[in-house]
Amino acid sequence: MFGKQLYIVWSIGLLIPIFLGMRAGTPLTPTNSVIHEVEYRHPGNKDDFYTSYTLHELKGDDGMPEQFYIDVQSVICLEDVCQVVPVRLYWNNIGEYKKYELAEDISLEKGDGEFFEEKDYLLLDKILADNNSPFKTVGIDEIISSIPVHGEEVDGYSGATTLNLHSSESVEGAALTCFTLWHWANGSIQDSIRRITGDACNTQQLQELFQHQELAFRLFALEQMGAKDYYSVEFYHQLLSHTTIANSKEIKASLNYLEQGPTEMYFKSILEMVAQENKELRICALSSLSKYKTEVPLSTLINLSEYLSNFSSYREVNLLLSIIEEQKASSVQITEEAIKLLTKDILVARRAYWFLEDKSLTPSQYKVYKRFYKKNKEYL
Amino acid sequence: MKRRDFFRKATVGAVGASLVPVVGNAANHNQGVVDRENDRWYQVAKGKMGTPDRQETIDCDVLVLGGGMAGISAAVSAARNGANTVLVQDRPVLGGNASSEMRVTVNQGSHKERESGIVEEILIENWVYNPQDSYNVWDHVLYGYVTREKNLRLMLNTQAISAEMDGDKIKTAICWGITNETEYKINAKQFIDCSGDGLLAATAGAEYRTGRESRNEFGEDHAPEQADGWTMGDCIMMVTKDMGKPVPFKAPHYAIPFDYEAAFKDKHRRIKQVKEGYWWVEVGDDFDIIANRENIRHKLMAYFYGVWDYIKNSGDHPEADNIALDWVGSIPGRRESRRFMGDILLNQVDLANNKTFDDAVAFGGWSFDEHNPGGIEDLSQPASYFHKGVKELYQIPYGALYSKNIQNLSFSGRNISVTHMALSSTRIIGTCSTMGQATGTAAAMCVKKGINPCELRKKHIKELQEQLLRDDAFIPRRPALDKSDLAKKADAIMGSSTISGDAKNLVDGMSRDRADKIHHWEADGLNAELQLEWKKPVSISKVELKGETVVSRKMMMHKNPEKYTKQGQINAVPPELIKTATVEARIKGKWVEVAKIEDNITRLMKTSFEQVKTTAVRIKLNETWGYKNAKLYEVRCYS
Repeated sequence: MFGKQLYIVWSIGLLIPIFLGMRAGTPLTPTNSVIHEVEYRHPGNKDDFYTSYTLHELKGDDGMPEQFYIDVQSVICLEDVCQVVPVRLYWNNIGEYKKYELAEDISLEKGDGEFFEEKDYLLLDKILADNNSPFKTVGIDEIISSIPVHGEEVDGYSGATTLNLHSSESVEGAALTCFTLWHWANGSIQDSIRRITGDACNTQQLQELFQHQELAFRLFALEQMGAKDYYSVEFYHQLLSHTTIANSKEIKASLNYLEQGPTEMYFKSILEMVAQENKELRICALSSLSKYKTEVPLSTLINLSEYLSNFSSYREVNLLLSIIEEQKASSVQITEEAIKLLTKDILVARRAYWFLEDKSLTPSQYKVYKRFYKKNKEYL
Repeated sequence: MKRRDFFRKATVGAVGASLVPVVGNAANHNQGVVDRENDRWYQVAKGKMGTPDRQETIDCDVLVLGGGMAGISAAVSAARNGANTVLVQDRPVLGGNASSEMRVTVNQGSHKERESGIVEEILIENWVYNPQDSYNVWDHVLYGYVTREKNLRLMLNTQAISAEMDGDKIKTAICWGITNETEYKINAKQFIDCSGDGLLAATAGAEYRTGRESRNEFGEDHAPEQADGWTMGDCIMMVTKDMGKPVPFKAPHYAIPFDYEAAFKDKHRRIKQVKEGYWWVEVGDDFDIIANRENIRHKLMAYFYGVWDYIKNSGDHPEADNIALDWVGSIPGRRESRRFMGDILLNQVDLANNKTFDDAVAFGGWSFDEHNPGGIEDLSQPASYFHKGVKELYQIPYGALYSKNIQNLSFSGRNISVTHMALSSTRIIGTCSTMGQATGTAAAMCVKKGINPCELRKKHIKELQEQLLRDDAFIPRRPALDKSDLAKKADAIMGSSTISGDAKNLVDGMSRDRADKIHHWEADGLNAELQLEWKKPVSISKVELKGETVVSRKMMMHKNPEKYTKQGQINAVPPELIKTATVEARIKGKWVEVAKIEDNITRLMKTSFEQVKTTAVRIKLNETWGYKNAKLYEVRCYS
């Protein structure tokens, strides 16, 4: 399923020019497909309600979802703006747009009646694959009003605005087509696909998917594990081991997953993350802990305080000391760890100094504390 | 236009003076603009009789002429920056073209991002006081916004009709109170003419141009080959209501039948909605559009009712069967008349090439939207020559916002120093407002320093730019570099949690995201904390934040409510904006609350408190207007 998908995604990436060259070829004929009714409100629609559409699921040899497609119109409204033609849009099994196809003898047309050139087809594919395209925020009115050939309200008077998209952001003369198809490719149909695939997967398959080399698939696996409320020891170890090399997006997704799981597992994971070399991981773990829903056990705080001296940034020290203060936790061990910070750089040392202000100190600790004050009072 | 009449007048005096309406002896001010000699006031109750003496002399630092969006921005900025300011507006309401009298949309210069600063404050405030999007209430939202400002006196129904000069400086504006028969002599140190037509500036002798420059003069390829006298025309708009049943329409006697067959050959002229009027019902002039205004008004009404008669009675538009006119403008909105000359004459090439100006203080981004010179009277031409060519937000230099020959006179709005072709882009109301904020701030600085705009530009332009950026103006490609901002000198800046961006971005001088780099910090959730630390104690009495209002999302009010949905607008305070926050300073190791932000509705959140000596400031961002995360673009701290 997903292993094969990797090959398909890769191959589509390479074959886009060929595919576009073949756009008048025979449409894909599904041999093992399932039909789903999904609801979507396309922002180009004048009506403010959801409409039901048919989403086709194509299964792989293993019977699992492999691709999805939907047949739509190239332009959703304003029939006089340009010719409306049917377009088939494809996604992979986690809802990522992959390609579009046109039926035989069908070509896309621009507002001025000219047909798309090869470069326009390529650009359209690139636009649809960009989930942060300017079409994400541009309104249908702006598209319509910016069409000088047929547009009506090209003026500051009416509230219509100009649309100056860069030549790489829109196919010139076909902004409405780009807008329409972009919202199909990147709308909530993607969520429907993720839900269908997630429902089709068992936890073992998701666990395997978490080893996928593409981040999008790993994030999908985590999302679906959480949705299934699945927290096994085996997967915990797999997850923790992976966080040491993960980027911030994945670290946060991992923490989100763990925050929803068993409390004991969560605190254990925080301790393990804080013990790691990865500073970003430590900061994310402490930030998560600072907002955690339940009281943090004193033992966890004591264990965490042992890392205070090893922290490489003021931010980590500040975060952990603030959590301890917030929890109103007090222990000899924590105080001893804080005392050690008084010899660090002034920001860290001063933070520890203020932390220690209301703590019971041993005579030797007090001596260190006073020494710090004498030496640094101009910084306090 | 009666060209011969104009020249006959022009031979008896300067061009500006020849156009002064109402009074011929305005220059001889001691006698007053109105002869009261025969005016006998008689009050029956007490039998008192006398000659009304309605004159008032007002002294101020800055006088702003014209209460449109540019004038409001100028006046409020001048007042906020410490100048004793007077705003004179010749109509009973504020807003100018954007007022309920004309209802031109407060468009933003670029579809990609809005202006921030004063104009944004107003647009947000409108959704607080006027969620029903009533234009009449909008007038009063503007009234409230202006009249609550300290240092600012608003004079409605008052027109500046001439200038008294002291050499090449304006000394006094002679104004006439339309409703109170009062003559005002307003003495000011700085004058900002945001009136559009610029009567005061003209009578002061400020150089100006009208008409269209030739293509060769500035290398503007959209300009006509030969210079001519055409200006873009005026318009009136409408608002309709659905009566729920067919309603007849009988055209008034003066309606001019609509030649729809000829009109519809042009692809711009179409009847695609029956809610808000048609901008192509437009009439211009090829010589003196000001003198011709009343004729134009009549013609516009006649053309408009002709179009509506066609819509209602031709049978071609059954969608209008139940639709009735609810409001039709009586005062045309104006696009162009005088363009006053500054030290820089901004042209199409500057805007299209996105020229970088050292004295940039404002910005725009609209396309070159040049209208058919004849408007609806020339159906052989397209209604608008909508030239592309503005690729990015362009800078507007301060040198284009003051007079080259009258020392203490500035401009904002459609009368600035631009060519006709550049005006086709800069005339957008959002853009005009950014100019107003710039000239108002500059005028206050001029007053403080005892100098005039030209010298301010030469010697203090960076200071002006820094103040504008601090006040939430945006200048493309010009980051804030304020050396007195202590936040930039913090030794550590940390967010309690981060979902997007970085807390360090808040002191990088850019207060909005750009295409190549983000400049925000977004916390993961609310009750987020931002902390700044200094190694050595600093003295702080002001903490200023810039929040998220999503400048890429539109915020204006429309005549046609369908546009709110289509443009994805939110007709309320932006949900992403911080609503509640506190500012704490760490004093002797303890966090002490020094300021509180409550029910905030502005992107720029300013706090001011008794100066504290501290090594750390902590800002707690407790609540937004609905969004799940706290998000900021800037933090500043000042002594």
